[in-house]
Amino acid sequence: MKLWPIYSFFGLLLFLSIGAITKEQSTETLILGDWKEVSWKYEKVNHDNKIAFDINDYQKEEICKNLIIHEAETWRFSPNKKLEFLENGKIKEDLKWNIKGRGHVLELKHQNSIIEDYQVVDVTRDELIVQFNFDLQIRGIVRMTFKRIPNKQYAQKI
Amino acid sequence: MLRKFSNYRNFADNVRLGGLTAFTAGMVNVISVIVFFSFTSNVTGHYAILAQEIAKGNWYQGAVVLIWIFLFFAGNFVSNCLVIHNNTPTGRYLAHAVPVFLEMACLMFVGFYLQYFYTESLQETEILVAALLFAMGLQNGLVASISNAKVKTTHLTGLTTDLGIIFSMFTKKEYRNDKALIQKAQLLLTIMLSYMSGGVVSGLLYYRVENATFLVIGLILCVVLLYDFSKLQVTKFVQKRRWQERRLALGGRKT
Repeated sequence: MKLWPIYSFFGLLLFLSIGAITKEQSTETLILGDWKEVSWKYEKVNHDNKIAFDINDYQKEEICKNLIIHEAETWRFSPNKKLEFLENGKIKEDLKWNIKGRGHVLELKHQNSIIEDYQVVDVTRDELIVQFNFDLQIRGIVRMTFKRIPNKQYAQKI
Repeated sequence: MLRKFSNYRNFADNVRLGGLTAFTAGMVNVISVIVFFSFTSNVTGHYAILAQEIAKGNWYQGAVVLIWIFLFFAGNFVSNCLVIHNNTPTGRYLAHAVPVFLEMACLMFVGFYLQYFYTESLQETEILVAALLFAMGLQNGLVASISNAKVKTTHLTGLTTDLGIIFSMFTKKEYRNDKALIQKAQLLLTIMLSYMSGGVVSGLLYYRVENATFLVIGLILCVVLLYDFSKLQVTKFVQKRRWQERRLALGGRKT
């Protein structure tokens, strides 16, 4: 049995993987910058289809009251692992952020050492989608979508 | 546990080896989920994630998962290479002990790095998870190889399948008294319970001693190594004594 095709296949896979890692940007790099909150939606929820999947301000407030979920307009991820929540250009809170797993978990460490974990569903140059589980009156997963604020535009705004 | 190979191993050897190594695998898996949010003792989930990342076009994450799977494969490869290329009566224990040594080295490296250097960057996380997957590959490859694939400490999908089959066989009277089947069920249950309890112990320990949990895992692996080493020393001592007695007896007969 000739082994070289098998070894070549594995070698090629490894080579391509290393190439992808060096060429592509990781979640940790892509997430840097300012992100504006666009929407909150129920991704999955235990209900009988009577509730709309969009989350209104009242529901959002209710969820935030019971969980440490942030209601800031803008999330600013800095390279020094500092995350700032901004509302009308003012810093509401700052904390430490980390990306864990294969780049699919966003961990937020508060100054009072409480830790929150969000699942990073997608992060591109323009869009960031994260999910969190909640267990309020109904159980489900909330999907939060953010749009990137280009640096110049954000500087002009503040 | 380590000095016997293939069909020369008995039920008790496999239970001891399976129990202790499954316990450490459970510990490693839970601690890696707590610290890195990633499983390290099984790769079934990683294959599903790899397919998902490829489908989503997340090439970076797909490549990371592929390298993790490759490292688990490499661990198994290295283990079995050491076993089959050193299968001599004198070098067997050493050949079986080296993968355990390497596994311990990987685990100690991860524990030491976490304690003194870890800055929680993604790159560090990826490398440390890779080291743990390599360690688990080494362990799984070793136990599967020396036990003739009877013991697989991290392959709980296969184990649950086998248990389901065995218990369904026990519904027929003729199989209920089959000693081989009963022993297989006992071995699989031991592995399953050890893996579970390893996970629970690791979860509890981590919140008390944090990264020192890796030292505890290392100590359990030391037991695996030293148990056979002590047995070999005893065997060596008994053989030496018998040989001396025979020599004395022969000397007495001559005089």
